[in-house]
Amino acid sequence: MSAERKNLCSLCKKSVLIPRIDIDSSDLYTRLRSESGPSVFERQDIEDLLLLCDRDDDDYEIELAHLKSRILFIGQQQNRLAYHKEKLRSLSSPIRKLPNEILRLIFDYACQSESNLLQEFPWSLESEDPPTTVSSPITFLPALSISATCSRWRTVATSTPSLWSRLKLEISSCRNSPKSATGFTDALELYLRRSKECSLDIDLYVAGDDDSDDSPLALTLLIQQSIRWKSLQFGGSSFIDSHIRQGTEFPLLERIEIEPQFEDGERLSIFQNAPMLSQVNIDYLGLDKIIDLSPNLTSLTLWEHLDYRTDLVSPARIVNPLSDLTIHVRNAGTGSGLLEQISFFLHASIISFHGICISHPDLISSLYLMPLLQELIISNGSVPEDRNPITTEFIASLDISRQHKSRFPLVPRLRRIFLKFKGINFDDAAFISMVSSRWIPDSDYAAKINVYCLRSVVLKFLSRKVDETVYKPLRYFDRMGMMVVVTGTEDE
Amino acid sequence: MVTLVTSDNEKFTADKEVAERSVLIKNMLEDVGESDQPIPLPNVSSSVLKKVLEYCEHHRGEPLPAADADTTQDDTRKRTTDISEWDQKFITVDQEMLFEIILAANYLDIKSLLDVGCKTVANMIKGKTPEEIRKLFNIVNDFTPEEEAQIKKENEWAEDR
Repeated sequence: MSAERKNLCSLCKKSVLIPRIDIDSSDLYTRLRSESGPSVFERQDIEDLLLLCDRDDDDYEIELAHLKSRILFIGQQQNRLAYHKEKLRSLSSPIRKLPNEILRLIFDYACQSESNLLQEFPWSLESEDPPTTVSSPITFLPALSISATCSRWRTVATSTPSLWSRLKLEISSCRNSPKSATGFTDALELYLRRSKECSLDIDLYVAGDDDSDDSPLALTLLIQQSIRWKSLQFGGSSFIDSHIRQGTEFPLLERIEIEPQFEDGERLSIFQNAPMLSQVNIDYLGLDKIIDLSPNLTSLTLWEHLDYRTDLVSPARIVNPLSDLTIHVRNAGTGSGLLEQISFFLHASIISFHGICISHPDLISSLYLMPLLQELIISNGSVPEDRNPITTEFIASLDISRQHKSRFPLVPRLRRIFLKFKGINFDDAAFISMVSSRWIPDSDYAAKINVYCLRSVVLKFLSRKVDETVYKPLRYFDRMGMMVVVTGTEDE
Repeated sequence: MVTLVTSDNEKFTADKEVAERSVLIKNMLEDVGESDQPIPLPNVSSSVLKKVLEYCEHHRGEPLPAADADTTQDDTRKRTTDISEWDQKFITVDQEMLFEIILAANYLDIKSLLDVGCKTVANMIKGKTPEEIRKLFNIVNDFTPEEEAQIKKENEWAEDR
């Protein structure tokens, strides 16, 4: 486009196109309506005009391309401006005010043991699905998610080994094909590497039968770190003891929780080099073997069986008084064998009954044997209604105001109570009365009657709703400092 | 009673027992001894202090954590992000206030309140992708191309299936 074909824009003073052809001229219209055709000279004139039209057309094309590129450029600039604005806004984002030590605390809470789930992928067992359905793995891996958020979070996350030290693994017992599961084992190695020297809390599930001498690669990687194991929770059909060499050291191991039943107590000997072991939850009848294994025992889970043998342990074998006792039922029994064990746990401060079939008189009798109890947890989820221990009579037995003056109050040191109730017939009034009777904020009075003030109440109904009007009195206690949680089916 | 003066020069009076849930204030009162002198809190605004005192009032009388309690060595069983019903309602505030409460709890040294705030933010983070976290907290992706490539490599296995 020649310079003389341009004018200057009155607004921006940039050159604008001046067309060669006057498309608004009436001359063409007159000639079109003429009754005679064009002469030879006129034909040449038309050809020349058409040529000029083509040149104008070319100029318009160039101008359009120029404007289009300009529009694109402006659009790009607008996008960049929006991103710049976003970054500016982010600078004043409230979370940026937090110092690194608080961010670290938040991340630590976000990376609890139950949430950093590494699941073998691709899953190599056809006969059994993985226990957890995972569609977006990163949402189950908070440490990884946090470290991929922004550079500051990444620096904090990668310099905090504890975030990477709580692992939940779901693997199959089949030998992994190194090619197919590379990403999974790489991720596990990344976690182990970033957890540095930090002790490990491991929640391991191994699917399928243990029918191979070869250890899955993930298991080998974990066992190589046995000196860092602090806790092991194991689920699956068969335990991994055949993969652990006898004499393996577990110098930091404090807690084991193993789901599959142990027929042979000798299998527990893999933990013979675990001097810190103090919390044991194993489905094995030989309490003496467990106590031999962990003389520092402070927490024990009993799995109540129909054939529970009470002659397997004597109270003298227990070196330290058990301070934390959990009783878990696997086969719904009568609870009678269990009662005979209870006397060994005079010093228990926490007791938890899950799905236990025990009559309320037996339960009350058991609790009389535990005067130091501070926390009581009862879940009747899998118990038939006619064998449910959470009855009006049981609740009333905990009610201090109904206690006969001559009798020593039941569990006088009770601080926390957690009931999970399945069924319809629950005595709300008796429960509220019981809680009210144990709300003793006046410490002098509490000392006088020798009963501790109840501090925490959790009541969860699994198959009924909560009548908020009925439970209103407990809300007052919550406002005054007692932790009160009452939920029903509509809240779950 | 104790008088507290906020950054915006507002005065609050509180029971000594309530104010002393803050270790900072407790130590200040011990240092000063019996005195009616107001305690300046230059890092806490009046709107935030009002919330903090509401929390302290509700939890008055509860045992304070031991001074030498080592938070990093907590028993793994106690590492939950459960928050009591009252605390949950109390901390249901906008992000601006939530982070101000956390900062105030940290400055005033009220461990239980700091925990409630941190657990609340942790619960907001849990179960989210990096992009969802960025959107929630108004954070921009400021990684260099090299860092981005490294993260992509680390997270490739954990992408949606």
